[in-house]
Amino acid sequence: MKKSIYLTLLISLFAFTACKKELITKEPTSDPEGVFEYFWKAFDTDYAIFQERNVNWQAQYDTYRPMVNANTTDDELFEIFKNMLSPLNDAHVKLIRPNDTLFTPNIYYRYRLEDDLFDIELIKSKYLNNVEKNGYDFNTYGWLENNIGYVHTVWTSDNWEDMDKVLDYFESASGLIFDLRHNGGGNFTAALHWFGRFTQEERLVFSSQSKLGAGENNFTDWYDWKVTPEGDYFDKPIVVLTDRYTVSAGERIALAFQTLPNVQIVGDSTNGAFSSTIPRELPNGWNYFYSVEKVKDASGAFPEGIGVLPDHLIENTSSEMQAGQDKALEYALGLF
Amino acid sequence: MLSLCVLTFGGYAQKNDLTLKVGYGHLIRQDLNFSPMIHKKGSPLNFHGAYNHTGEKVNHALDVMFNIYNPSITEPFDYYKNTSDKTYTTTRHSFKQLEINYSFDVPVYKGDKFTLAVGGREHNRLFASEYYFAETSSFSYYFSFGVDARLRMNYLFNEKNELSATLHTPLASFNTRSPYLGIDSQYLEDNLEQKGFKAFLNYISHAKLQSWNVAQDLDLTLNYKRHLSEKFDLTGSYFFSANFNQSPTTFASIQNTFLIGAAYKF
Repeated sequence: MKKSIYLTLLISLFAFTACKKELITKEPTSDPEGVFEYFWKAFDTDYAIFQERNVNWQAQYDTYRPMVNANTTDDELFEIFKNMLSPLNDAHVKLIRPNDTLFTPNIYYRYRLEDDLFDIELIKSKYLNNVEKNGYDFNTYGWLENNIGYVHTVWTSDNWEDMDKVLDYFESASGLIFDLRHNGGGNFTAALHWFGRFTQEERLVFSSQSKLGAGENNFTDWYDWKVTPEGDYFDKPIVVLTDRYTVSAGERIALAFQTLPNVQIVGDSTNGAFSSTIPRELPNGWNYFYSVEKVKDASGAFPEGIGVLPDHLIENTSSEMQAGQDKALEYALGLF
Repeated sequence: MLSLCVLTFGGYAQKNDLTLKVGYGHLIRQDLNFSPMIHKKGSPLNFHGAYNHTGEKVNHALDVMFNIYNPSITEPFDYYKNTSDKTYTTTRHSFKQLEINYSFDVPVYKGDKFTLAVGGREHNRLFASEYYFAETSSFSYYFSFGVDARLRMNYLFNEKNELSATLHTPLASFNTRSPYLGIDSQYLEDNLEQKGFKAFLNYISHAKLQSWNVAQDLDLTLNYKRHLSEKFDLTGSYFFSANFNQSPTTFASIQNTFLIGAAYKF
């Protein structure tokens, strides 16, 4: 008995130490060249949408790698990374370093283009009656003229828990304007869970697949995202408003609305950043975000980099906004 | 892993004891699902509670271990956004580890001073972590449920002082880890209903039987005990735990912990 115990212990220890696999992987180095190599490689391995973004990542390496050497300063390296990332124009790509401004290559967020074409305060003061809030104050809703309901959501996340109350509030409405403009995204799964009152039947709303490592086609299988009826059907015409700051999970919900027969979309195209994004750290402590998922809409088209296209392209202008007019909202009201 | 079985078996007449210990630990962890970096951190937040029963033939123990580590490869730093006048500050990662184990053993050799016991352990190991990066975080889980082989050796120096060593190695483990990169459609689906416990059960439902080819664990505990009175013992422990997993990517965790506490005997 004694011998067998010693033998078991010996075998266990041998098996533990003799494992062929690498138990701990060598860290990348934190010098400029090591950081560049790791950063480029991380994108090369796991960034899912080079094709949709029309970027040759190897060409970016060939262009920018020679600019980095052991003497490259942090400032220089940050600029090199910004230039290397810029063609991606992806709102889900971000780069953060100490005591500097977060960088994203997406031209709308980077330069705040058209940021002034939506103003919830204007809507509240000029167009809305009986303004209410719920969903952790991220849902603003009230009555428009002609018995039309209006709801704006800042995020697409847990604030959807209160969407049921919003729809109950508009039980007597003749229609609903669902404003997704400047919706910053969040967690689309929460919104899909509470989406059931908008549909009478199960509907495919989009599909997604995730990166599984190196290789252009190394992805999970396509996963179909569906919405299913739940609760009292909200049987009214709906107009969804979108703009270039409708992004990420906000766009996924726009895709879901797009599948409904009683919905029209008004405004500008959405941002075009549908993928799931993940944050990571570089060996020098900087942080970055990148896109690791492909998304296709219910028709099988790839909207990444394009956005959800509105049924009615109505673009507000700065001068109209300064004059206190939300043209897209007014156009939407005219559709009822 | 956290099987610090503060065994009072062998030397004394009492049948049961409750032990509570706190101490300082050091964790080294690398999880390539979330970072290429090896995170290292010490922490005083290590807790261990145990109930031990010494039977006529079989000894039983129930252990609960919990610890928190907050590593970061750099000190938290400030950064800004062009959308706001606010100053944003990064946050350290947060690794939480909970283990609840039942173990038993049977003495196979009893000498005047030395006791050797063999047995088994059912382990329930829950590693839940938040990897914080700038404005958000990635949630990481590694849950393991399994049966381990257990080997315990006790040496009684004299009536008041005793040293024990306990070793655990897995026989079979059902393990579930975050997916590659920490996110995929299934992971998102698991969170669809936004219920924390439901999501937790969903993660567990993906647990798979893994062999030593994929998962390797080893726990070693050295425990010194000083007999203070009929009711109390003073205990001090050194605990070494190594956990490795290669599915879907490298996970490596090495923990060293020193604990002190007391046992109430009844």
